[in-house]
Amino acid sequence: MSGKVFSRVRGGGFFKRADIVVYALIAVVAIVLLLVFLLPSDEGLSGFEITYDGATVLTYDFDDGLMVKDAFRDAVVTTEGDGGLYLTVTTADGVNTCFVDLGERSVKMTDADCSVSKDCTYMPALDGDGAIVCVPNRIRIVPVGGISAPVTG
Amino acid sequence: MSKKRTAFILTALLALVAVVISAAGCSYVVDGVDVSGYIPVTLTTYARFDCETAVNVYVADDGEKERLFALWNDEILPLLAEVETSLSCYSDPIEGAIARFNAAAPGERVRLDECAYEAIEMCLRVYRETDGAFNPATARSLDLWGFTDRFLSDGYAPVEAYDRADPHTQLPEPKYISAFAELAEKFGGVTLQEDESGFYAIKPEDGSVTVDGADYSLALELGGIGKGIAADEIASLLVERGFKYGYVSVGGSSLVMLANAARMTGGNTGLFDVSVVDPYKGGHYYRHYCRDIAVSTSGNYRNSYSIDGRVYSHIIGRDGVPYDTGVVTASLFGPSAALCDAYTTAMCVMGMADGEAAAFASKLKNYGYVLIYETNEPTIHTNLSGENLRGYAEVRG
Repeated sequence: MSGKVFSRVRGGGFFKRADIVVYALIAVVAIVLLLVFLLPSDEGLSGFEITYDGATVLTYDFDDGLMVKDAFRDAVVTTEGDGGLYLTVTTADGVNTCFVDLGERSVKMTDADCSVSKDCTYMPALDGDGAIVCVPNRIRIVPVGGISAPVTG
Repeated sequence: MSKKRTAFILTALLALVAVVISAAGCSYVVDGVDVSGYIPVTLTTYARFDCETAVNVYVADDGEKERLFALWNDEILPLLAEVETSLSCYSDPIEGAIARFNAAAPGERVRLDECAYEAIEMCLRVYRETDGAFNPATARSLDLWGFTDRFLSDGYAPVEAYDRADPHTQLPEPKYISAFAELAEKFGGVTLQEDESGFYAIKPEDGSVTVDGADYSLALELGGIGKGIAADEIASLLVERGFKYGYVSVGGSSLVMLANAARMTGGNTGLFDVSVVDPYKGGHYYRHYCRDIAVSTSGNYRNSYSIDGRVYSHIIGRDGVPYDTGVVTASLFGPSAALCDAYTTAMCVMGMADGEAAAFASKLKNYGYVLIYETNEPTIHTNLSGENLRGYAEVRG
């Protein structure tokens, strides 16, 4: 029986269509795995966290939405508009408002009562790297998961 | 060998490689240590240097996290307070070494602490290396141009003879500009002494100028390199206590990177992708992958104001006027954040008109620079192997 099978295989052509399909499938899977693990990914911001003096005020996940910590339940006001969401955080140190751009998957500080120069409102929108920091009001916006990538400037 | 067998073997090998790499992807090894389960911890304080200090560390377990918290509370926060107090240029009452130096009369011998002694020693070295482009003796000029703390609050009122009602719309009188520039040149005459009794600096005998009958004594401003010194010290402390993965940021202008424990793709194991802020478009203009290195950035797009289209920033040139050399931002990667800060300040002052800044940075061994220089349009100048993220015209150094 097995001898007949071997002789049939040996007697066959170089490739049958089924062989090529199987080899191609294995090759595609292998290449996909290689790409996934070896090539850099640029997924953008999946979510962010706002902290006040080191304590988490809220987290925002672009897929799952907003989650405000109980201790800050009365400190956060949300307003929809301009294709996104405005989050206003009021603490003992002041008021900060940021805009969550749902299309761009980014967040930017838009207003603060922190100082004359309002440096935090000029910081680049957070879209994957770094952090937005309001020093006088001790507010920090960072990407969720891991530590924020280093940014100098 | 038949074509069929060859195809089978090649496909099997490819699949095997993919499976091995996928299996390896479940663990993540940096420097021979599996760091895949490491926990990210970020600790911040806003209490020092008028900025955020952030310590971002990956720890192995909860026990190591507790050790990090103890280090933060017991040593890092006191260290920050010590460096800030030591290097603050003014305080009332006078507490720190630099404030004592600034208040001293010409020719006076002033007792320092070790931090201030080493800071002045480094400043003197860089002052000479850069032919005065880096000069920390610009405290008077900074006050003249409206960049000290008293101008940052809403309650500013003119006090000094040179004050204007609105220093950010009215230029100072030329006699003060030239007098304070002349005063800053006396910095090279500062001498340091160290003996069994402690650390000392002697202010030069000619370390003062007189304008309209008022004497102004040589005064130092070490705020910028103070952040770099703090970043260097904190990073050393972390390594000394066995924390090998993470980075320290003081104000974003001074950073020290250790190794990265976060999974990186593209073969960048252990490296951080450090981004440099784009002063024009927001976001970042350059990215460099690195580890075990410091970086500092100086420029004229922060802490500055404009009068008649001319930008006046907090970095004072050799002529006593905020620099206007076309360098918008300069970043330097090297072994010390404090040194990098001093050098980038000097590079801003040197400028790129005759390539002085890039030529100077290129001569520094083990340093990499990236800067934006603007004449008609922004140009990136760099000797780094990083990524130009914004497509500005690039000049390789």
